[in-house]
Amino acid sequence: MLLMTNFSSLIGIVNLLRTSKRLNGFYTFMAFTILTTLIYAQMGSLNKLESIQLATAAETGTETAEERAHEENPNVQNGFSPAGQLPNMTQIANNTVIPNEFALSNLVAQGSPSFGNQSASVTIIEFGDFQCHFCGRFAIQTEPSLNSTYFQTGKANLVFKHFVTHGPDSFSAAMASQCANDQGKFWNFYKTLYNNQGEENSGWASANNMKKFAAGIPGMDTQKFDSCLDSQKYKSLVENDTNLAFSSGFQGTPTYIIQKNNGSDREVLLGAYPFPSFQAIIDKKISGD
Amino acid sequence: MPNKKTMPITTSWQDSLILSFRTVFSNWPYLLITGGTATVFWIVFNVFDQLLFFSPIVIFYLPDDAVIGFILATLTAILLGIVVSMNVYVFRHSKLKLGLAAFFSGSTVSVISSTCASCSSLGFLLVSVFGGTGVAASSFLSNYQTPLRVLSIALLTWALFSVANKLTSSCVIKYDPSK
Repeated sequence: MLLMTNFSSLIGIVNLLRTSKRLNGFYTFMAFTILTTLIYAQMGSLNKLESIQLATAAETGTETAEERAHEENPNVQNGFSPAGQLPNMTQIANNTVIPNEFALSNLVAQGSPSFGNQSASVTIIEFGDFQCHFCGRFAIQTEPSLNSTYFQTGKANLVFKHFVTHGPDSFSAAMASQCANDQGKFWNFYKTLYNNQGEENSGWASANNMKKFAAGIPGMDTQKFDSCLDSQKYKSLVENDTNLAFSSGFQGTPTYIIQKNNGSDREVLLGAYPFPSFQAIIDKKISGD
Repeated sequence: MPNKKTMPITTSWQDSLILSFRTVFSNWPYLLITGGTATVFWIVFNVFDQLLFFSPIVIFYLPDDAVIGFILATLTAILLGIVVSMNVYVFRHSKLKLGLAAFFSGSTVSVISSTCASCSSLGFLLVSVFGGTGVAASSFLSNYQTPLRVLSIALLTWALFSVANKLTSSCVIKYDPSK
């Protein structure tokens, strides 16, 4: 990632050496280099996260005080962590223990929607946002292949956790999806939203539109759905999911944890990876059983 | 009093472009710089676009929703390669002023727009640093990704013609028909 910055630096140094009189151009270049360095330094941290194979809480059963503090952070409102509340990557890299909330039984107990055989040996946990374009790409491009290869055959299951980061409408969409889950319609709703995804914060994911989408799903009790959404019944669940993602150091949507059913042997993928990438990890876990 | 006129040797932008291409790319190191730069930027753009992955396996895929972005990103990478190598040629072979502003603004816009900001750490950086303003900024970058990419291509094209003109303008002679 830093190749581009290095190359720009090289051009700048050559420029300085050969044309010392043209310093204006050099300053322009330096501003550009600093900007790109800042961006790519952040990207570099992200890549480090991807490579971390997280130690399992199942093995240690512990949780750090800092992580607990993040979960209980009272400043988090509407699903957003205010400036300065994000854990830094060094901290996450050093504290490779994340809460034992990723075992399938715990996820289901928390009210997270799941799909597939509950006793399957592998669990995929998606941390997503309904307004995220790359989450939509996963739902449309990758999930059908995973479904036919692993979910329908009982080899793996999928759990959805909310990671609300794209604006207030994302929060409405997340709560609405949980209301659909009350009626066993989460995955229909999930597909409906991703198939009708609009531009971020353009209003397509407003609470009113959520009610319209729900009305289009066969068998949905719209009165019950509307009442659930209006009462903000799942506000705390969505906040807790988002806080869990932040406290785990996840820095983007979609993030996937691929793990054994009991929460052990976790691997994290950040991004809309294609089916073969998931296949490589899942098959490795299945063959390791 | 004789009527003094100036007449450039190159008469059109096509001639100017062709001449500058011949001048620069007749040297193989500049072809290498072009290829290398274009490749590096192509990889960066496709990693940002989540089309190219190196882990757990190396894989490139092109879903339907990414075709336009991929074409624009590839065009941007090629243009960047050409503009960079032509700028390097100018650095080394002339005392002409460079179109640095055009080059850097074009490359900056293309890099930023190639990132679906709010789906990557850049989005989180914006949100964490700028709060609500950051959400708006990341939404803007995400929603206007394609127009921003077109803008970056326009800027790079401008940079390309600018550097080509500077390269060939050194060949302009003053022609006095009275002599």
